[in-house]
Amino acid sequence: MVNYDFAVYGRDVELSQEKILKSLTNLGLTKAESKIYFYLAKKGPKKASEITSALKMTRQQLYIVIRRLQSKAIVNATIDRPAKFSAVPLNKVLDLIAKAKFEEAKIIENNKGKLLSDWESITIPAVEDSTSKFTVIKGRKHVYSKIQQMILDTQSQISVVSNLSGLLRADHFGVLDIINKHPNRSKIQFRFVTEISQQDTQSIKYLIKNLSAIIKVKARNTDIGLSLFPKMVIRDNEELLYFISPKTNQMENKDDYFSLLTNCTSIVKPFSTVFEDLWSNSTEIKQKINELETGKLPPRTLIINDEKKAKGKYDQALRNAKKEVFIVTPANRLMDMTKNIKRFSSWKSRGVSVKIMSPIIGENLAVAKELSNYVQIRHSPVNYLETTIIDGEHLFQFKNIEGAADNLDLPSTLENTFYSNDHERVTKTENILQNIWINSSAPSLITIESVFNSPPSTQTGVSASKIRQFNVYRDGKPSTFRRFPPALSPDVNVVDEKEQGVITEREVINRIIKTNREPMDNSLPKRIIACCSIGFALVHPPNHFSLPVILIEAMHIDKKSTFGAEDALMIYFWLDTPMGFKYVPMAVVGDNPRGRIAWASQTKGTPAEKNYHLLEKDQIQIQVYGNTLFAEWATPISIVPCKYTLPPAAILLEAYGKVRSYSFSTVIPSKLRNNLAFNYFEAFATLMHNASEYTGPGTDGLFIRDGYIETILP
Amino acid sequence: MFKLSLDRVLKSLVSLGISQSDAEVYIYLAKEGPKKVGDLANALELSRQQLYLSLKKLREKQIVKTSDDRPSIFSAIAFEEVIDLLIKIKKEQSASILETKKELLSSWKSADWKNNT
Repeated sequence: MVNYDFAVYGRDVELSQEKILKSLTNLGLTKAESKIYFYLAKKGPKKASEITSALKMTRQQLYIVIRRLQSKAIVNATIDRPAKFSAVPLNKVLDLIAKAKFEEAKIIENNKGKLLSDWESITIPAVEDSTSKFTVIKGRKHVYSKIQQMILDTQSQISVVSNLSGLLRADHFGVLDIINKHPNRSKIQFRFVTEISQQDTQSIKYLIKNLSAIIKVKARNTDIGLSLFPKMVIRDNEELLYFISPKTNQMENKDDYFSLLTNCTSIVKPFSTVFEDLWSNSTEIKQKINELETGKLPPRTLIINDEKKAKGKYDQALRNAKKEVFIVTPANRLMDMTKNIKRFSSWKSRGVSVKIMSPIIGENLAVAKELSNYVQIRHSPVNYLETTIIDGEHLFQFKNIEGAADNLDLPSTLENTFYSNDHERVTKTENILQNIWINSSAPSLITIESVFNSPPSTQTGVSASKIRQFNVYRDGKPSTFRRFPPALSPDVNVVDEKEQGVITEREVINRIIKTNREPMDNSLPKRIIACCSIGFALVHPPNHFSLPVILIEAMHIDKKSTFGAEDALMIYFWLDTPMGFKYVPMAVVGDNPRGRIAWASQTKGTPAEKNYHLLEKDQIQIQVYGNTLFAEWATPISIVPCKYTLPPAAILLEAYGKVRSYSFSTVIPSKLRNNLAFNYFEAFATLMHNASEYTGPGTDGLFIRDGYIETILP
Repeated sequence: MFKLSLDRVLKSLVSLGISQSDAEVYIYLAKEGPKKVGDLANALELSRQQLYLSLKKLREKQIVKTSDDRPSIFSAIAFEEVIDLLIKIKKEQSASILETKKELLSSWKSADWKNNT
């Protein structure tokens, strides 16, 4: 019985416990919250460990629930360590919850208006934009209604490219009136690019006036002359409507309206960029209207990105040249010019004065000579910006391609052509070019090549075997002056000749590196070595020098050579001899007393034999930096018996093109043998003098950067 | 700005006892008009299973209705009605707690903690 009673009691307890828990969950507690609350309310304050073991839950689960109960203020924690948790009495909890619910209802009631306006402002863009859409819209009605929708959807800006008739038609059909219905139209910018002509000024004014009344509008006119004018509408850089008009651009028929609509970022973005490009290269519409009404063309300066457009404009300007064409061009472009020889003859027949400046080098010398039948052509230093000025009105500047100065094979580009017809800018640039022109020289028939190899050959560059000797006049008769090796005897046999490709640059350098100066006593050594750099510069001196054409040979002999270091100059004149024009060695200056004998033997029978000057070390300096040679002399060099004096000056040789290597040996009957090896370049020669700086064409210099001359006595 | 209003609307819906994901379904339906399950699943990028669960809960709360068409078309009641419903429920809950307070307290006293529940 007792057991039964217990059972009845127990069931009662269970029932009421279930009922209690249920009413707790009805109050908004979770099952776990209800259970813990109930346990604490009945058992009194408990530690966390007691709760977890009684309710068979993990500590982690408990803490999550306890924290929620604490935040609802129905469970408190004591400050004991470890903390004990206690339940707030149920009647208090009930009051609390009832009050909270009522408060919540009040709050929502009070905020109803705000919530409703929040609700109104919610759009569901994320859902719509998550996929890119492409739609082809056909027919005027549909295209126009889509444009209207785009206008209404605009947040910040709407950009339009269209011909004027398209804009006017859209206005006529009331498409643009929709702007009036846009709630934030004062915050929107409306930009359009169009192209207007003389007869359009009234209608564009009317259109802008109408638009300005309802929206911030900016308009520009493009002058690029787009043959097929693109039409597009871009909204906020998010949505693009692009007109594809398959048959006609006029769209007279309403069925001709075809457009592609997309919100695909990877398409809209580039089109936005296209718009911005077009925008920045266009002129304010008011300026254009003014220009059309007054007939005055305002100056314009712009970058033409598109190669075809640039070429079109350039060719047109060249064709229409009336008075004068001034061209500065790189060496390789000069070579291209012969392709268009008709243009040059047309200019010549029309009396257009044409001046061309270009670096003249071995490769383009023949072209330069051909062109000089039609135009004036002069040598200019490298690295000038490629520029053309036409009639003093049009200025074109082309982007130099990196490395084009060194590499003749690089194609030129017309991309990003700079154009200006701004009078001030064109005049200034022309003045600069005129100054360069005055200081430039025409390519001479007397080239360094002809020095070594007469008559001038049509081959490009200096033929390697020719650098051994050049044509001079001595002892009253023309002779071959054997410069390499110094002619000790006329009966020289050349053996072991190795041209470019057989001997490499590396091999020549290695010979020099391996050379060590041998200790020298008073007797003549068996083996004489000169490691040297040699520059040959053909100088056409400015008039006030009162000098004939000069060939300057500057020799820098390294200290590991047998006779030690020496800087020396040998001066040749191009003189009218009884046998015609020849190079004549006129003077030698050096700074090593031991070199005197060597020079004397080399200049035997020429005026230079009597014109040897020993200079102090600080009066002559020849230095080699990479592929340039710089020679400077601080005293005037008098050249007897002539009345000439070469003033103190400097020459600079700047190598260009590819290095060439060459080696050979010579044997003379007395068994004296010479072994020679060179790495050499063609070079631009510049004469620097405080009164003038003169730069000669690339055909005027030869630079032996690495020279090895070995003489073995029998 | 739109983000904030969306947050506030979501919050008020959550306070009605609607989960965030269910609330999003409601907002989409209320804004875009009646939809089939397939369309909803595509637009909201939810699985049909998830969607049916959400719709079931929303129907229980009486803020989403379904038509007798096949396939069924779901529609949402207007947001203003939802707010009114929300206020009504809160007030009712508050009143009913106070009404049943005595009864609850008496059964509370007789109830004792038994660990076997």
